Amino acid sequence: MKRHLTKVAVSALVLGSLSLASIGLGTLSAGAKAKAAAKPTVATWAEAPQTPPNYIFPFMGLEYFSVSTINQFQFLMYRPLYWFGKGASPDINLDLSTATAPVYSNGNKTVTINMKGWKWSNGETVSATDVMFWMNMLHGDKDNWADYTPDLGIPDDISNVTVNSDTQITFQLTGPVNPDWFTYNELSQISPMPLAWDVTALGAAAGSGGCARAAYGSADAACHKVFTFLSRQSGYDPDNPKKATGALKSYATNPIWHVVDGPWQLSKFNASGNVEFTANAKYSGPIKPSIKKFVEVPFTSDTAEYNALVNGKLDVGFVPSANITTGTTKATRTGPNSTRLAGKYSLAPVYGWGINYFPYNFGSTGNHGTAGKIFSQLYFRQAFQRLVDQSLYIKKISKGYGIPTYGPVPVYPQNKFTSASANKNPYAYSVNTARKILAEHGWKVIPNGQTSCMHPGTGPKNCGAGIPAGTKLTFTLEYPTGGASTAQLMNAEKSSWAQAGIDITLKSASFNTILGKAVPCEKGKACDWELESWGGGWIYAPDYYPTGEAIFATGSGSNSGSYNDPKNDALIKATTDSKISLNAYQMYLAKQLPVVWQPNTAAALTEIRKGLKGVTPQSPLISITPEAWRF
Amino acid sequence: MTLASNQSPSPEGGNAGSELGFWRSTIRVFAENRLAVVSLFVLIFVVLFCFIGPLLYRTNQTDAQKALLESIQHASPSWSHLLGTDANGFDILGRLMYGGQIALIVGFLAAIVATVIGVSYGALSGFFGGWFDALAMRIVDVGLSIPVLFLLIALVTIYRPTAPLLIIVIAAVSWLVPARLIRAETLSLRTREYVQAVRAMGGSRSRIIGRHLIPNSVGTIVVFATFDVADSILLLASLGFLGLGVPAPQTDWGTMLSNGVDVAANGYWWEIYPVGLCIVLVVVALNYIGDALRDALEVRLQRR
Amino acid sequence: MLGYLVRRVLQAFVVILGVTLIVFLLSQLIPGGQARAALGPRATSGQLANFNHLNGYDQPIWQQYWNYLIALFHGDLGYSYKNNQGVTSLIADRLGKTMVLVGVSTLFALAVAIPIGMAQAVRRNRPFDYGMTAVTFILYAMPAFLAGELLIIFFSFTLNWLPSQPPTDASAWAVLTNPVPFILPILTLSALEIAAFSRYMRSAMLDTLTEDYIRTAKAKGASSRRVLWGHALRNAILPILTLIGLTLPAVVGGALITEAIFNYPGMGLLTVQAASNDDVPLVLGTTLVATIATVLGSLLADLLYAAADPRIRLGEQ
Repeated sequence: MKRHLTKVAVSALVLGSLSLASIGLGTLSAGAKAKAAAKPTVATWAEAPQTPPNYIFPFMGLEYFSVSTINQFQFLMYRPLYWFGKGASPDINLDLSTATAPVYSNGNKTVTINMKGWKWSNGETVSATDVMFWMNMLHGDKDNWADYTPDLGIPDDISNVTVNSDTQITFQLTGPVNPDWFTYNELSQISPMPLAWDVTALGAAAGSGGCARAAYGSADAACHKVFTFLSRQSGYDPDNPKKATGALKSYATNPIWHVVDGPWQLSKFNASGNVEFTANAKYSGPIKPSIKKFVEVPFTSDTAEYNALVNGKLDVGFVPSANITTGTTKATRTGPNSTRLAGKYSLAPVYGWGINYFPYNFGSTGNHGTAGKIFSQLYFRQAFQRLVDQSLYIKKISKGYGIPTYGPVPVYPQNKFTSASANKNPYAYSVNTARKILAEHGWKVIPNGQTSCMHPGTGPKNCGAGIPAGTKLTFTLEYPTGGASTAQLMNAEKSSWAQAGIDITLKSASFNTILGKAVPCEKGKACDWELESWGGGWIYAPDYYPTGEAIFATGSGSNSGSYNDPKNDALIKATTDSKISLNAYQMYLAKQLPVVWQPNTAAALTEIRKGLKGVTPQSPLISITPEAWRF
Repeated sequence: MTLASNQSPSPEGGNAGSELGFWRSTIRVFAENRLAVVSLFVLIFVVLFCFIGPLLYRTNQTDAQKALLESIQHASPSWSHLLGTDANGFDILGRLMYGGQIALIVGFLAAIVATVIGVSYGALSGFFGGWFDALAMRIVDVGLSIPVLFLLIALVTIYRPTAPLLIIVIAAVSWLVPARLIRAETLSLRTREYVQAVRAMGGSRSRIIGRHLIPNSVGTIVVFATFDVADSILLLASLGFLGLGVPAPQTDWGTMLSNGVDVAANGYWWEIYPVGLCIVLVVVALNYIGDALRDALEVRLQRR
Repeated sequence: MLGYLVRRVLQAFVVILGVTLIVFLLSQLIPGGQARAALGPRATSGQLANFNHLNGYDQPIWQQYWNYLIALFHGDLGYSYKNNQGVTSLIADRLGKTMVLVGVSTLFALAVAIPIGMAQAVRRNRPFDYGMTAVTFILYAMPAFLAGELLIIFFSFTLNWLPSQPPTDASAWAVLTNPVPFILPILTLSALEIAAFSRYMRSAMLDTLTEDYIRTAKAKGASSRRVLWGHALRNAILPILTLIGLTLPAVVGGALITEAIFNYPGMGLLTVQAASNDDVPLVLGTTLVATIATVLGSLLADLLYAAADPRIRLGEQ
């Protein structure tokens, strides 16, 4: 009886648990099915207004060199050799790179790179030959490469490149370099290209172009032919630049562009900026996409994009700063969201890897020939900077979403290049100090009037060389038309400078006019611009290593104001040639004020649909990695 | 494009046989149109509001640093700021007066410049006729064909926008219509007997144009100018929307409205409705006045 | 009639040529130059010079204008770097959208304005007339961007009845196939036209109603209705064609603001973007095309009018 009962009990138990289990499993799977059915597989992302991606071939001139084209379009399909942007810092991210860390040897004159062996979608391996392909093209067509600087960096610093094996490539350099600088500024430019692209006609055999497998620098003519062919497939004809090729319409169907090593493949592309990607199942990287389709949507204006957000049409977008009603007190903390979006979206500001400033023209002949000479006086720059109340402007104009700029290296997002003391403002806002500095150097300060030079001369208490008696501090500052907050900032600064009798005349002009004017002075040509602000300062991309070779070194192309300081040049050279920190360089420039530092506003106030994970932390290089997004 | 189409409604009956002076009869008919009189008073009130107002209601409209430091941005209306503040912390009521000055000045001056240029051009063209007229009118055709906003954008993008430049630019696109109108009038007038009589008597051409042709078109001119002020104000508003209006810290109603529309979704109603009301009020008033003037002048013409 | 036709077409041709000259000259005045606009802040002077040479910007002006005209004859409007596309194909993409939007708005405006204008004429100086005049003036006085934004806030955000913008990849004909998202843009764009057309219709009807032949018809015993519809309407409607022709430039320009607010990538918006980017070939191209469209539109209107009105056909223009 007992055994029978036990048997029954056991079988009852078993049956019971089985049925319970099946019910449980059923519920689980039904629930899972329901959840899976509800989980979206398409993510929609808003492009910044009026910047549709417009070039697909990752070897282009400055005409097509933009964040929206490179970081938000090309990178999704064609991975650069090394990926930058780890979490919220601009550091190198070896997980997402196609090779392991570069190895420097031979007194930092040799660099060896080992490829990981990722795969292209057509079965090829991302090999050392693919890197050589790009380097060969650079050797022959360096004038067509956007980031080429004569006598600095690649390819001029390279004496030879050799492919040792399928997975290893070695660079021989002409002299020792700072490994950080070379990795972050030079190796960062390289994009491996598949053998399938080494052709001069559609359907030709891979490698028939003769560029990828040639010894370094020996196939310039062949590489140029390949370059021309690929450019034409991308819409640009190097032999006839003004001719339209209509290639844009064929981006999504062209077999050349279908060979990808990134997590996404282009499925639809139209010229207005509507771009659609489908997940690349053959992606070798560590994070595989969980959504099936990624859509980029173009917008004509900020307001239009905001309206789409309010209607709930986007998964990831941005909110125009005008629509944030309550700001934040600290840039590192996020404040409340716009009321119309708060229910559906979370706010996540992202700060770019760059600094904001506008240049003094040290060679200016304006203000009766004295402008350049006045700017050259350090005391004047100190007084001028002391009247720029960055924290007030960030709080009131940028709603708290901004970082003050004190020196050439950004202090935020967290990075390994800034120093602890870079966070302190050597020239805090102080109207009295500004007035005192001017008065101590021979100026008669008339607040809200016109300060004039009373004691000309070159002594320590005088105005300075080339500044005659009676000279007024009257300058013209141009800024771009169309941006309400830029105009606000400029006007606030103008009234601030007026407190020490510095009379700034504001003029607005188109963005390109300003860029056209803010160029280094040339011998024999008029150079009367005084202060020009294009509103954007400088973004360290793809020169991610924030030294001053491009903007502050004497004679460099983007040194708009012709800033010339031999000590600074020596400090910069030290940072590119040897393995030292940037501390000496950045502390020096923070004190020297080569330009007028300006507050750096958040690059975007991103809005993320609630429930969508993996979008943050956002890269300060403004790249997007939708493969990490999960609903 | 204006509401000043060339067709006109039939006139009201008037006292047949009483001969009043040209202007007196015009004013009389005008005064009978009550809406037009009300509009005139509204316009006078707005002008006083914009130009005398700031003397009574003093606010900081230029020192942006001070405004940021001392005022709350986007504050809703209160006793210290009767219509609230904007993104800079500037008082909106004060800004309405200040912006209205620019809007009205630019509007009126642009209309006057356009009228003067257009009338002279049209009169000369109609008077001389022949190939000169054909060429002159082709030029006008070219100008009329280019959509105004396109032309404005091109012009203002090239030159930096300042109030005087905006007057010139808006006048540059508005002079074409009065040129056409006055040319048509001149063509019809020059065949009139009294003009031929003056010529027969040896009157110089400039005398004919200056003393006879233009004065007889005064009606058309005045009507056009009235409508053109309204249109110039609207054009200025469109330019403000495109970010091509007067540069800060100056402002005009169009830029104010454009900034208000940017923050409309935040519920800052004081930044949109008051300035929108100002624009609509002035433009509507001008249209009523123009309409009534045209009625009055048609009566005059009808009796000739 | 043939003489008039020929003269009118020649006129249109001369006008178009004149427009190319004006727009070309304007573009030469843009400071900063094409090269800077295309290459951006990082360009060195060597790269700028190279760009200018490759694109022929270092040639004398008259040479550039001649090249431009020749290219025009081949249908080539130039190349836009910012968009990496030929100007012709860019415009072809967008022109259809603007034209359909403008066309539908105009038809809608006519459908609304003509009855209102007629009704106003019949009920002259009564409350309905005064009321509609006030409404018309207000419609005219409200800047398009204000009207559009208010419509969006009210109908899309608060009431949630309509979307705030059409889909970004909508085709030109989507206005007709998927009309719901286009309701607000069409209302905004047609406001101006409704104001102008109804004012015109009212005064035209009033004029014709007092003309002699109408009074004769009435005296002869024709019923009021017949008089109204048969005679007055037919005569008042003809000049509407001219009015549409005159209105076209303004509407094409007004579409610009509507497109900006409602995120509809048409021609007007293309021009604003091109102007702010100093993208000279594109500005030239869009202005030229817009002008040609309006010239052709008014040419058509004039020809239709001439065909219908014998006074024009036989007399001077």
